[in-house]
Amino acid sequence: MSTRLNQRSDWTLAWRFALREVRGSVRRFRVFLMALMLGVAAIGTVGSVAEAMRDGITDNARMLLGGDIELRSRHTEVPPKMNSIASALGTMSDTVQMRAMLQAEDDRRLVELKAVDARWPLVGAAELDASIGGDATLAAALANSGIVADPQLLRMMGLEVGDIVRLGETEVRVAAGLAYEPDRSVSFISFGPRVLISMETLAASELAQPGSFITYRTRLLLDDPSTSEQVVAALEMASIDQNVRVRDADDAAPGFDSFINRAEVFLVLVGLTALLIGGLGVAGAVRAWLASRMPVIATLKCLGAPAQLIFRIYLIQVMLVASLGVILGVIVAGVAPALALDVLANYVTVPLKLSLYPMPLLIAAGFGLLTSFLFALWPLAKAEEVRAANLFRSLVEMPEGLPKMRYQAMSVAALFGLGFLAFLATRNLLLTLSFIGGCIAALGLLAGLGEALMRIMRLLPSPHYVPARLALSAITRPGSPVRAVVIAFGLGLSVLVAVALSQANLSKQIDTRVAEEAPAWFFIDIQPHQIDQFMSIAADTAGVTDITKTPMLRGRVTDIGGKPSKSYSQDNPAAWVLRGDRALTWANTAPAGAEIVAGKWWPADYTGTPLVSMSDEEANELGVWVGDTVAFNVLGRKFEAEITNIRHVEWESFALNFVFILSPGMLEAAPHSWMATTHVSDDAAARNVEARITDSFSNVSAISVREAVATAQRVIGLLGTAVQATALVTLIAGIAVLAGTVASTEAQRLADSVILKVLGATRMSIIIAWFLEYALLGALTAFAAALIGSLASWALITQLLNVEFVFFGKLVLITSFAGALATAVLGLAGAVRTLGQKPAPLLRAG
Amino acid sequence: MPSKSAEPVQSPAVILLDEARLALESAEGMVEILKGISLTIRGGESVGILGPSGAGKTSLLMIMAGLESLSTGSIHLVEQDITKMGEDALAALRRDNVGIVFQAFRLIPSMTAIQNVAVPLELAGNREAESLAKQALESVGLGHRLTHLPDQLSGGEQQRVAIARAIAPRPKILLADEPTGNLDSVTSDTVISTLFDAAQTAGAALVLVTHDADLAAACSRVLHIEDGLVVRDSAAGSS
Repeated sequence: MSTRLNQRSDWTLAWRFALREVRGSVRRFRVFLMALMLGVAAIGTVGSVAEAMRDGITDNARMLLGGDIELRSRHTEVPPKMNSIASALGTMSDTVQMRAMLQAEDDRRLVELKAVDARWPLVGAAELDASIGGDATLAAALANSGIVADPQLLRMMGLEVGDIVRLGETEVRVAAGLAYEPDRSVSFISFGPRVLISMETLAASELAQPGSFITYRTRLLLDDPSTSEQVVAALEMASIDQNVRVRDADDAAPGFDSFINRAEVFLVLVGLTALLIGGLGVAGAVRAWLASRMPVIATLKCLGAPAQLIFRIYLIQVMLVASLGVILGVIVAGVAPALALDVLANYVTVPLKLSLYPMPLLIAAGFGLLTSFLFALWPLAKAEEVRAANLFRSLVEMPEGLPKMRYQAMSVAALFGLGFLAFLATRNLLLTLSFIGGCIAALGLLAGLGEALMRIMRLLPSPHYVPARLALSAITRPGSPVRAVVIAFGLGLSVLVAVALSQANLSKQIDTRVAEEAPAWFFIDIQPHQIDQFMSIAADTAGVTDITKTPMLRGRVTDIGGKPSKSYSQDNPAAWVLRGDRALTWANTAPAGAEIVAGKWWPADYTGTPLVSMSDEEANELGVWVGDTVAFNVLGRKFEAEITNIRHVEWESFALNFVFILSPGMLEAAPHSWMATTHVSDDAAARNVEARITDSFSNVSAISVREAVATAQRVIGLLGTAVQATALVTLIAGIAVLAGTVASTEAQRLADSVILKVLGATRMSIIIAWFLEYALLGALTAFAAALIGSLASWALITQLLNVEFVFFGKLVLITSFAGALATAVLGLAGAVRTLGQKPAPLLRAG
Repeated sequence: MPSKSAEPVQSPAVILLDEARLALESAEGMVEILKGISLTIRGGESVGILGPSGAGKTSLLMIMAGLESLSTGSIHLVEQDITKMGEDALAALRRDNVGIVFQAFRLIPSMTAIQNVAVPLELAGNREAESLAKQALESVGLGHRLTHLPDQLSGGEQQRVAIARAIAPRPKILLADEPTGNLDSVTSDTVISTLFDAAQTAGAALVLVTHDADLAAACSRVLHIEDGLVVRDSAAGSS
């Protein structure tokens, strides 16, 4: 008999029964569907947008690189030896990039200058802005001292085609507007608008001075692109001991690639948080739904259905509904990137490729289904334990306690599955584990806080006002929704409080420091023979309160602590120090106010073997200290320096900070330039000093701190918006859970309201009681969110960013209590629907 | 009201209780519901169980359905000792041998009449579940209501669907708990006739829990239960 039973209780029968029942159940799962759809859509959209960016970069890699291979050199031109190797293999094109000042009468603007040869661009085509007018072709525009400029720059400076402006030591003609530049580097930040000139114009401008911060690029379009790898290898061999970097199309946008990866990981984890909060909604919705199915389940058992069949019938139904939510989420995620890409195109110059990306959508769908399974499992497992005998007693309740061992094991397996998917999405095991740990800790903290608040409420004396007494008893009764709401709604609200508070702190930091410490200008590319005159002009300018100067040139760290730079992990927080060219300087004495953490500064008259002072944070992160050595390659010349002291550097200050300061004697002879900062008393003095310096030195560029800060604020703002948008997703998931909680207590609420009406309560007093209940619930949630959000922000600001934390009480109060109000209003709106019911029919039904 | 059916003396015992005791936990501690009941019910018998509220009538029915486990004593259903049987084996035994009719009908609201009736047959893997369900519904006079959902049927019709569901697998035992408790008197008569006819046609033992002495009197045997004990069994003539 039991063999036959096992055969019959198979999945086919479960499917048949499930399909009969599920039609009427979908309506009860609106909350479940919404929470799932949101989470899946968020994760899928983030993954799709990241893929679209990566694909955009891959598809356009040759165009972004400007050819098959790029040779890049800072400060000095690419050596002829390498050029001759390259020229034999295909077509070459040279560009020179630097910052410069473009001057039209009294109006001076910092621009990103790019000089190109006649073959530029090797891949793709530059487009001129027809609305500006002027020359029709690039070649014609760049001839005869013509410039092709960003149309926005022309508008800002009030320039038109044919106007003459000053660039360095020459006068140039506005020839056309630049609509599209195929090899424009991919980034969020640019220091100035683009201006294109010819190599001849660059020479005439005399801007390319030794030691100036200039990037020389030689692009190579191979006759035979399949030889790319061998050519790169050969050029890398030739570049040993040279100040040249060789890149091919696989490495077209290295910095941006890693930015995309980091942003994707972060946003996927936020999306996953939303999904996990949604999971609480799933659990609540499934529990409420199963509670309503208890008589059916008991009937099926009476009719001979085995426990496992019951589990399967309801699991299939849950997963069918989950599939519907997941499909809706995937559809949104498939469509949303089109909108997201539109928005992103305003911020980033990367070409974005719009397509359907199956992998991120599959991962998002996997997250959705697995989360549903995990959170539905326990209520489902308990449902199969329903006692059919209860049917005779008109009391069929959901069984309490832990489910059977096999279901506990399934939960653990589902948790591992989610962890694995998170790992697939983030490709970072440590981060995945930290996230899971963090989630469990946050949920534990919120659950503990919810429990503690409920216990405190139970100790309160019962109020005399009846609606208040009803509200309090609803909150403190066994099975009250306090814990569920505090966890689900509180988590989203905590994130929002933490983001708002951290952003306010960062903005305050920047504003305060700009006001107190920031110089008006950074002047760059000052030639050694100009520095004394620069200092005297600046000092003679009225309103200039302080001037600092430092020599600077760039070099690469090839070895540190006896290990090659390449052997350090890219995940090391100080990997940036080793990645590209670093600004280097030298000094006889320690910078004013420098705090020496370890070792001693060299004597002021020291001229012996090279010594170096290193910043403390980076030394710690790279695991080096006093006595270790650092090997540099400066303009192709290699040398080693011993770390003699470690300095504390406040990177967030606006001082001229360096990771490495060398002892004098080694770098002075190399082509270098000076940097200077000027502090001023007012805006007039700022304008004055800029005008006097750039009039006197046509090759010196002035970078406005205000504009640089505005750029930084813009990036912080964009990141903040992204975080807030995702925090909102978690909040909406929390709202969905709240709505689900309200819905699941509807039957109880209806019964309560009927009894209260019979006992003479008016509709208004019941409404007041319910409003008080949800307002109290919202206030408790807001309190928990304010506490946890503020703590998280404090930890971020003081521990991670090492700056002073300011508590913006009003901001926290407004953010968290807006959430409380939303809880009260939403809760009441959901509950009030039941008030319309007349008591008589319900009383008759018993 | 149906006429008393004659007791088939030679029929085998389908329910056999020996010193059946049931104690359940309550807020006040253990409460003894059944205090040692021994009885035998044979195929074709119709047994009415009468008694005041709380006497243990429904608990006795649950024991007979294998839905409640005895604290002590033993129970055999269709010659199988179910005293220590596992839940799934009990479910299978119930599916093949026991039909139950509840006071509150207990139809599955999302299923049509024919689907409701087919459930136990489908659970048993019967390939002709649908045609047998149709026959069962026709036998209770509901051949014209096959595709109606429960809430599209009257109370009496719903109870007749429940009876069709109980008899469709041709069980050896038919248990009914206050089957007319939710119905008016006219509808009750129809339902009771249907129930007795169905049991007789199937040759099943019918056990009926009721408060209605007239209804109980229509059975071939009446058990009076008080305080967890059988105080009178008309078959034994004892009190």
